[in-house]
Amino acid sequence: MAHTSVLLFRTARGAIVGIMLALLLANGPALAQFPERPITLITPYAAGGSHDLNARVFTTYIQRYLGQPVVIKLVPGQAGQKGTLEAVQSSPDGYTLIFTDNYRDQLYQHTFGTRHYDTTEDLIAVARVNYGQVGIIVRGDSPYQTWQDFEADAKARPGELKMSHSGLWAAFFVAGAHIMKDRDLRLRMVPYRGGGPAKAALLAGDVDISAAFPATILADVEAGLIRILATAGADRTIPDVPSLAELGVSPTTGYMHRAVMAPRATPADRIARLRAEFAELQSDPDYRAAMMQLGENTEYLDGEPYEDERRALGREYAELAAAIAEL
Amino acid sequence: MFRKADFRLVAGILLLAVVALALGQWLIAEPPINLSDDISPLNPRLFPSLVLVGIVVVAGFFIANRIRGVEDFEGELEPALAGDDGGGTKRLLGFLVLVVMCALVINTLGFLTTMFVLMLGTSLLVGNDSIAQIVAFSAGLPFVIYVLVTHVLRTSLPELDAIEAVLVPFLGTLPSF
Amino acid sequence: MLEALLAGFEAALRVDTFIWVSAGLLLGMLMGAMPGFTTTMGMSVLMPIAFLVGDPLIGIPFLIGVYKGGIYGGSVPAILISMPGTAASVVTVMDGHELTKKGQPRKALDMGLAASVISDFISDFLTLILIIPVAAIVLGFGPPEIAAIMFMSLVIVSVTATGPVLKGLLMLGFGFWLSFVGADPFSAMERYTFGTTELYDGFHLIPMLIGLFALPEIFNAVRSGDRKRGRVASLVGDRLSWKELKASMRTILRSTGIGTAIGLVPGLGQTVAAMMGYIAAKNASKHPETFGKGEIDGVAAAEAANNAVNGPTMVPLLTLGIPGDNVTALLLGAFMMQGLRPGPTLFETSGATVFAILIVMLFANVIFWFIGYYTIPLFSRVVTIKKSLLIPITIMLAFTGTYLARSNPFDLVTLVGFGIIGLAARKAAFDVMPMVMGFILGRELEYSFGQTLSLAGDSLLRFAFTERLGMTAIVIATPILGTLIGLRMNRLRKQDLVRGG
Repeated sequence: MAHTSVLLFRTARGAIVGIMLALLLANGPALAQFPERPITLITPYAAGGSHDLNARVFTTYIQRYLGQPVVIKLVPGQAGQKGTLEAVQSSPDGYTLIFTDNYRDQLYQHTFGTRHYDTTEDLIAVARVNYGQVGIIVRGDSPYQTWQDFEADAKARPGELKMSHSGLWAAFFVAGAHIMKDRDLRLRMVPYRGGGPAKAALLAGDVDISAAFPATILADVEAGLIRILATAGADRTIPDVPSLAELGVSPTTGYMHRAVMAPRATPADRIARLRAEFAELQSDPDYRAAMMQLGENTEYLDGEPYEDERRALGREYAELAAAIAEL
Repeated sequence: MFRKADFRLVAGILLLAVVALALGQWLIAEPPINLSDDISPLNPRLFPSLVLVGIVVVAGFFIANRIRGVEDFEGELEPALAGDDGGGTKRLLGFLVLVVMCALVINTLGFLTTMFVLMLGTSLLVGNDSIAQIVAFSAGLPFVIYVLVTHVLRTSLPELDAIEAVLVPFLGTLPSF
Repeated sequence: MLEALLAGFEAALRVDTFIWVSAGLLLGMLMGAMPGFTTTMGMSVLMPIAFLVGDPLIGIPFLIGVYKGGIYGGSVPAILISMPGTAASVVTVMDGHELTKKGQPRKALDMGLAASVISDFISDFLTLILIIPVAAIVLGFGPPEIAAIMFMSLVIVSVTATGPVLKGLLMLGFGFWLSFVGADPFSAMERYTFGTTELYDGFHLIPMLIGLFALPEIFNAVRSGDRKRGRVASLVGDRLSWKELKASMRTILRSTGIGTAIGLVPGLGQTVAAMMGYIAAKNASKHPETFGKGEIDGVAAAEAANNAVNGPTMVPLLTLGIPGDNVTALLLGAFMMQGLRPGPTLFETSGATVFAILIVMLFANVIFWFIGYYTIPLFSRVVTIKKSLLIPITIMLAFTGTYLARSNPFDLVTLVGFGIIGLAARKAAFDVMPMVMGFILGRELEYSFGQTLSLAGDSLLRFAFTERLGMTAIVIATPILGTLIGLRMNRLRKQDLVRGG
């Protein structure tokens, strides 16, 4: 039903655009409509990871709205620096975009040394495609039934309890860092190569606590192997489980925003077109179904409001990096 | 002793290791934020230094053995090359130059041109005397590979904008994934 | 459980599933044969097909077919032109290519196929019936155990390398050090990069392998005066005979066991398995000096081991939803897009489908035997192309493959650099395998060790003796084992030298 009205709207809009184009063509030099050839989406992540999968889904469906394919160019490595550099140096004509996340965008400038670009200045947000929201988890048979149990133990034994995470300054580590800073705890952070091994470490009993994106632990929670002690955000997402904000941790903790960006010098009308089509995509039922299959949400935010969010996050992360250094 | 190839190689590695150890400070960066052991368990300098020391020790033993006269060099791991007509080394050097140059220019000149030059040069160095064959393969095969890789395998290869502009419409007509 | 298994059997017997699996196997083999194009990249490109098709019994077997085909596919260029198509086939290069030079490429390819198919079948079968107990075992391997096993592997590799132990150790150390170039795995600090971005991720394995193994052959062809004449081999040689296959059966079974065991330990991978299988075969052989000079048993050992790794790596994926490597991470995505949720409830909710997939995986091996059998004669023709044409093609493939691996032009410099190192190593009688293994395992060992320190807290010794006895046992046993094997190898080598080699 919704699809039909979308179709009608699009036909009408197409007709109007067509008439305008005809008028333009009749008057001035030929103005082709953007995009007239495939767009490259630089994806600086490993093949098969959650970003790669998310990208494959939305690029398949947005083709319907842009009229041209969006081709994924996987450029893994260097913690995304290589891909980001390539995007920043590409010609700002709207045909090169980059898929990135908020940590790379706003946190890394405070934690890693040499940077050949400034993401805030060099990139402009097209759309925030979706986000992942972590949950803080323990084993099903752990003695901690509630968050308060855990916090009490952590305060009694500073530096002894272990948390597994997916890499320094990655999503789970940052969540842990925020918690340590805001709740004044000291945990031992044990690194693993990704969310999967971090979860395995928890299940094996090597560590006491960890974090995960809900999609990856639904089955374990159902089977009683994992218990969620808290979820990220201001409001509760699960009925009996407190949100981190309730527990005194910053409400923006534990969110990984997946965003599509373009070089800042890209012409405004092309950015506007891209933003418009991403907005359109949100009402596509096939796209929503595919995302749901993947276990991801479609919490879209347009580029403009996300720009404000980026700056706010940047300030917050500066404080966080400084705080961790003092631990 | 100094003439034997393996001695030279070991000496070379030993030298490299000593230099790397000595210059360690400058070659390995320190984190801008100092993280405690709870956060980051290993100093980036630890393992490399350990391994370099190990290399120095082993190389030292090897050289000491040689000096003492323990001879266990088994000679080249491969038989002498058939029909080596003395021009071999010159050809090899020429080939190395060719290969290094192609490696450096591939991004500027593009895949098809560079591979054409590479294959052409190599064919001549290896003794192919049928010019027609050389040209046909050097032009044709990279083209086939290019189509295969960019279109079927969907991976990018560096190419000149001019050539790409010509090829893209043609490639669009081919079926793909 | 049993009903699910039987239901799975029924569901698996579909013609379209088998057609898609065959397509996947063939595509995978071709992709694996293209050096530098990793199986992960291939699966990633083909994945949209898997999810657009909408049927888990088509999409997933297709991807698994691509994976299996890819592992074998890598051995084709390894054997024919001394260029490993994937990292897993690097161990096959040594004996495989020597056999080609002796005029027996078809035999080598046949043995590679037979060994791969047999070991993969057995490993998949074991996975199918032992999936639950295996899941429990896999979780038991944490960083301390992994670090200990890696340490043991490295020691074994260096004492069994061709030539004196000191040379093996030196190559190991060198490879180890090379793996440190780049960003360190804990704090991402740059090591030995001289401030360049190209070296931030360190050297890449594929250009290194192509450089070490393929380029010296090319250099030799350029150097030699053997210009007008010269083919790599003038005939494709005989096919593998039953007798030869039976003679290597023991090796194949042993390698299957080794590969399966290594598949259980997260983080080791196919190359380590191939290497271990090869070393075990060499050690058990009555004539270890033939290994490396064209010993068909060596090809069997390597190829059997690297295929046996697949089965167990699926276990943590299916039972816990934990992907162990890139390939399983991709499969996880594919599963989820088909509506299956790998994890503890998978077998309850979709037991029949999962078993069907596993059964298809099992029979894919049989299909692959046929596909391989008929394509091998085609592939082996390659060696009859005259050298003056084949060599330029080979160097072009080397360049292409290197660039494909990660689109970094610096990799081409790596390629040439390691080509020169490979040449120097040959002249100086150094076996480069310890260097390769050191490179592969170096950074992993550092990471596991760091994780172990992190887990141990303040007292490593207390941790070692109270909580992680397994690790401690391995660490203590390693020098003993290494010395024993080393002495035996030394003795056999001296005998061989006396006999005239």
